[in-house]
Amino acid sequence: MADGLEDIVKESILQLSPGVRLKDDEERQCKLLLMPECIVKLNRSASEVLELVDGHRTIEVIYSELAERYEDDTLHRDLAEFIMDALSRGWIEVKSD
Amino acid sequence: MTGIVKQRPFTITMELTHRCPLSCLYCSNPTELIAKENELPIDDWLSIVDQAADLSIVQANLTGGEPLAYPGLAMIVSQLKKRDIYSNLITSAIGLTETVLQKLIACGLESIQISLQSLDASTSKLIAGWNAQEQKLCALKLALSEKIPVSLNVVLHKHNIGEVGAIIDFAAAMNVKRLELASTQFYGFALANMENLLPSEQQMAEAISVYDSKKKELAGKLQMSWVIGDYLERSPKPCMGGWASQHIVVSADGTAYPCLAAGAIKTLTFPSIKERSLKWIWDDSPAFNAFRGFDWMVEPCRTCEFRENDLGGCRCQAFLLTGDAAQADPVCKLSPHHQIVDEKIKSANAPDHPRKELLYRLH
Repeated sequence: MADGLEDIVKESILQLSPGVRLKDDEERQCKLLLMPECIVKLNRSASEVLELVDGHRTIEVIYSELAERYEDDTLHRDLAEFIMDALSRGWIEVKSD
Repeated sequence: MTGIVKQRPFTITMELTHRCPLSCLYCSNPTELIAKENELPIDDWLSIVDQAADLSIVQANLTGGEPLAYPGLAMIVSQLKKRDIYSNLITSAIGLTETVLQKLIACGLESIQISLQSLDASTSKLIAGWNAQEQKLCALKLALSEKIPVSLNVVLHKHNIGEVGAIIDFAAAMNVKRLELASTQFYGFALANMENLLPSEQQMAEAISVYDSKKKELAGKLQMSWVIGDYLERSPKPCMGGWASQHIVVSADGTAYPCLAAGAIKTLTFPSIKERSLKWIWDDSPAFNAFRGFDWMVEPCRTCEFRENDLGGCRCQAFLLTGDAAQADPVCKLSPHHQIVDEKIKSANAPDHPRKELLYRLH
């Protein structure tokens, strides 16, 4: 388990932080994460997770949807690490009730 | 130039006007300011937005001077929204009333960055030329009450670097989403005022230690970044991710540059949007191709093992300090001109070094 994820319950709903949005980029053939004075070119796996971060899905739902697509022993750990990293970078946040 | 793959730019900085109510000692505008009568009309900016979208630009920084002083600002924001370009307003907040802000948000403005000179009104006055503190703080509170992410930007120098801890606490208490600290970069006005702005190494080390501990303490609560002044960094910064590789600037009169400071390079002729398309400027103009790739490099950069990391450093700084934009950035310890930077730092470290008269920009 990545550091700190124990503080976030699997029922938590995730959303993109205010001022952060995804954009399809035809020229660069990827998804970009746009935010104040910063642009992140996303790889495929980051795009797939962030597309599910929609203000409705819980962490648990995001995990199960990805698990249906991929049979991967490290998925749980990879997802936990990515979520922690995205939270600490301010890309996403836990939706408050 | 052949053989160099030109990536499309990601961002455009639209310097709508050089007019500004403040006169900051480190203003990023060139020392020769563009007069109001030479500013681009609104239709030109709307066309630039279309050309930028066609060039796959995805983000726009609306800046100045004070961009709120440009009458067509809201129309430009609407056009950026229409073309799905992320818009960010970079403002002193002077003139940011509730009506103005709500209109910009309704037009599709996506984020706003407000600058503060210092937490102390008298230091702010020393930097900006007049006391705008209360007006700025009111506008900051107003912006924070609206549905738009607000970043706070503070340029750091000798006079406010000791405030780093207090500035971070202030930003956290105000519930600001992002705090950007930026050491003064020495171009234009800031270069003319260097003796009054460059902090000592001790001031810098103390501030960095405060910053590091606050950053840990506030992780997850406040996003923070600090662009350390590269005079004190001892290794050069890669110029804007590479000369004309990610970013294009269009100035108030339509001249296009790869970065805000590039107009200082007097050996290049920069193209104008009034005469050429944004695409031609990006792909084919000699100025934008001048320092792409590695062929332009001279020694020690040409054969340096770090050349792909730092790309020889900043071209503007090389020109300003050596008179030749192709030289290694003198900030680099391997540069034959590094003693220029060393002497400036030694001078800043001396407690009794003579201060030159301040050069304020005019309105």
